[in-house]
Amino acid sequence: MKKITNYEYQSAVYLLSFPLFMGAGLSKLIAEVQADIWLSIIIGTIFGLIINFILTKLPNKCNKICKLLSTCGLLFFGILILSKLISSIYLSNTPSFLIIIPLISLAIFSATKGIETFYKTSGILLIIFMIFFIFAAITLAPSIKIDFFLPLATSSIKKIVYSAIHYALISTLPLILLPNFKEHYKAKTYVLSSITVLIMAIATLGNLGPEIATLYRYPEYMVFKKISILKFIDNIENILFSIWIIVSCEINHISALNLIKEIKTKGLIIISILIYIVCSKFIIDNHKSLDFLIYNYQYVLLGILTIFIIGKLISKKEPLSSNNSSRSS
Amino acid sequence: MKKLLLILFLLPLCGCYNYIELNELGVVSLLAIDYQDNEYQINLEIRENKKEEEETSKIYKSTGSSLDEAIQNTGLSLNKTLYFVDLDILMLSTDAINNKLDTILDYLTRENNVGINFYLLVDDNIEKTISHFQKEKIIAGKYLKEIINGRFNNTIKSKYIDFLQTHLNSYYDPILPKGKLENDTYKINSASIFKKNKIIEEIPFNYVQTYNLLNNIKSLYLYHINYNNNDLIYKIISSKSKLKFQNNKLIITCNINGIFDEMEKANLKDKEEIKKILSLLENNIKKEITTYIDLSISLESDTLGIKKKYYNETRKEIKSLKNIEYEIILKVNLDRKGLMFYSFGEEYEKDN
Repeated sequence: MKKITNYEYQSAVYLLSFPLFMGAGLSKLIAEVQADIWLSIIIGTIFGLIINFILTKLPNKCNKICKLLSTCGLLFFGILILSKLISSIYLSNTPSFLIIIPLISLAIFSATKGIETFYKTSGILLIIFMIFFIFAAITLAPSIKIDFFLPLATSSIKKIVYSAIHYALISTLPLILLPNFKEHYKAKTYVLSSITVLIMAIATLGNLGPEIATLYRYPEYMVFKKISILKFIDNIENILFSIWIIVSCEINHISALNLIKEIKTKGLIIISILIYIVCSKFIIDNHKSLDFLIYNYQYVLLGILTIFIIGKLISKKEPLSSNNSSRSS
Repeated sequence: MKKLLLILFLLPLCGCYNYIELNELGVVSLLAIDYQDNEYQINLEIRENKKEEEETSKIYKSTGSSLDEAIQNTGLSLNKTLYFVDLDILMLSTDAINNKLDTILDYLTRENNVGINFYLLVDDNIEKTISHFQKEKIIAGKYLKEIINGRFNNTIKSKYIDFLQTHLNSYYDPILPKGKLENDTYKINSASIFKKNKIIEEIPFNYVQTYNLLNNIKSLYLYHINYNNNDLIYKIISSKSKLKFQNNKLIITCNINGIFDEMEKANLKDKEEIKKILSLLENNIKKEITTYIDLSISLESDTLGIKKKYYNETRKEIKSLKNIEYEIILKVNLDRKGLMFYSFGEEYEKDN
């Protein structure tokens, strides 16, 4: 087995902070605190660092059922978020059940390739992601209106703290999927990903304004529509946004990898079929179910994190048997 | 073999459903909406996408009791899928704005098939305008967009996304450019101002100029003054305006640099004369600004975002503009711009 470099691991940590933002992340944060989103993200980063610190103090072993539940939950959200995003923005006429199939197939296929592929992909994706991100940030920066952020700190402290917790959950939860998190985690990588989200939020809010940013489900996509370079390079939002979609597949990849480790390929396929049925039949085209999930997004994510932590604590209390490996995750 | 099967399985699912051939797309350049007798009347200008007919377009008209129905009725006579991503102009009549603005905005904002960078224009005689452009055989949407966007054209440049932001913001009242046919020429030299999302007044060109000046819009600004029975024209080269509240008073500061056209009408060697002319000019521009602010206050139409500036400063909201006190601090300078040291007919020429 080839050794995974520190760069590849940190790339995975960095990129996994973004997938859960699509659709119910940034738009919800802006709806909660409007122009004070920058404050929420800064405070949320501190909360996120605390959560990550707690995760590094937990044992490597995890109760199998709790791990399965939390991983399935994240795979479910990864598939749902991506499918909804693609069906809303790119393929509005394509039936949602058709859109879900390639996403699930990709997750299963990439899981069969092993963990090294995941890390190598992360390493490559990081470079492409940074190129697109820096380009977008530079083109959007001149049109930011400071007036949209004034006056400062108008939201109540309760709302700011609440949305900071929300931010911390969204950005840290996917990290529970990474093996050997305790050994390889570096706080500065998480801080860097927070800075990226902060820049993204400022660019989005500064260009669209709080009213429009709360109007759209995907304000981070709408802001790319504003980019017009030299008056003839425009409508490049689909190219710029495609990297976010590819990066969002990372969560599906690592979730499927974790599942394949526990329940083998057959088990993964069964789980995937179940997720497919639930998503396509009951959630994705059902306005009420989707709104319920979005409205209670932070509670569901908190539930997944709680199950995971309980699983870790239970495994700590489980008596060690001679067959148990001390370094399994 | 497994990989081949997998690829074959995935390929048909790669967006084929949404695929539309380019020549099946009806690229809409202009969407004009009027609302009369409880009915939407729309005109759609669709660009020809044949290579030999690139600069031509066709107009399709239809009506409907809803916007969806009106657009559907257009589609029934068209063998293409309507494509609004490259829309240049959304033309609305005052009746459509005052009666159905929210519905129109909801339709355009919700649709994924509509861009956000097109411009808005008010026109109360859409049919006549459309006929005029059909006679001229030019793409109306593209032409009107170029007028609005023209670097030297002092018009209200209101993109859809910016208008939407102002419409949704409770602190601002929107303003839109207005066009009409004058002596068989289409001109966009006035604007419609809003109050609580309804058009209340049409303002003339000089007010549009003042609005743009106070919002630091880069354009061509010309001010006339009468000096010794001569009409002097001052052209602004650069300006910087700022609106801020200080001690509960709105302070409007404006620093302007410019040059004079028609220089032989004044003796620009004489410093005293320059001072007199600049003083006259300052009074003139100040009067324009005062008139615009007074109009905004009397109509309670906050196109300048005065309420937002008050809120930014004091964190308190004001319900009405009527009790606003303001002061204008204006500084007008003479400047030179361009490739030459001296102007024709000036010192150098006269001494020789």
